[in-house]
Amino acid sequence: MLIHCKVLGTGGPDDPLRVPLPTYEMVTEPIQGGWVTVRVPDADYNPLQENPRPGDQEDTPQGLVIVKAQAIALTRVLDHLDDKYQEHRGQFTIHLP
Amino acid sequence: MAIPSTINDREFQKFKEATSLADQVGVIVLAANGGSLAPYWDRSPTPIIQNSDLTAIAPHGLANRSSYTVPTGKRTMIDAVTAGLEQEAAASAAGFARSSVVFQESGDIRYLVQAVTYDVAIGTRDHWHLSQCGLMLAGEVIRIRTIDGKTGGAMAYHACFKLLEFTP
Repeated sequence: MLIHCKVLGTGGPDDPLRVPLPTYEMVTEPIQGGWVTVRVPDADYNPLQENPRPGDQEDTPQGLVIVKAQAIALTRVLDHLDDKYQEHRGQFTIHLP
Repeated sequence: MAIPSTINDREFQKFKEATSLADQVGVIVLAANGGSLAPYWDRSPTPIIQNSDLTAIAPHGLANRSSYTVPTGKRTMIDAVTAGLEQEAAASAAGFARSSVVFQESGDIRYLVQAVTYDVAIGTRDHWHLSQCGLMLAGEVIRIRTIDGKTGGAMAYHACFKLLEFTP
């Protein structure tokens, strides 16, 4: 699954441009203060694409489906990540556009 | 003595007679002496490959391109890591560029492998590969990082790690 995330960090030696998630691959170029698309494991983020509200889902010509995530789904995902990665509890965030 | 994977009361009495520890510890672990434990690659293994293949990338600050964290209750073997970079378009001023795979435990970053250049000329390149890098414990992190402190120009980067996550 691809998700659109806010980029944290300044790019300095101790503050890399990053996404505050446990496991991801960036597929677009990160820009300080901007947004980046990252690939994440489907199993951990499924609530983000479940039960979209009318008008919150868009099909693309390439076959991709874009879903606007809801805040309640985001909470479920972050709770799951806190449980799965207990050593990093509370460190993960996803900022919705 | 060999410890069976299942044990009844009578066998347990025999076990207690054979060891002085049974009365002293709160938990008795059955079949944990390696005799019946499958090797790690047969314990619910999940292969993980993360890759960062980038071309025509302008100078930029330090970026965590890719990240993997060992879940709680799991362990992960690092099978192989690789990092490389090449100057694709000449830079106008020299600087430090690096493609790397780093390991992080409790805040400290350690480089597993890194490729570095300072030169501005097209074709300048560096590439390193490492295999069987060892074990990661729950909560530890491995990342792919890039940075280019030159002025102008563009670089290609490649970095990859191959892992095997399993149940301890």
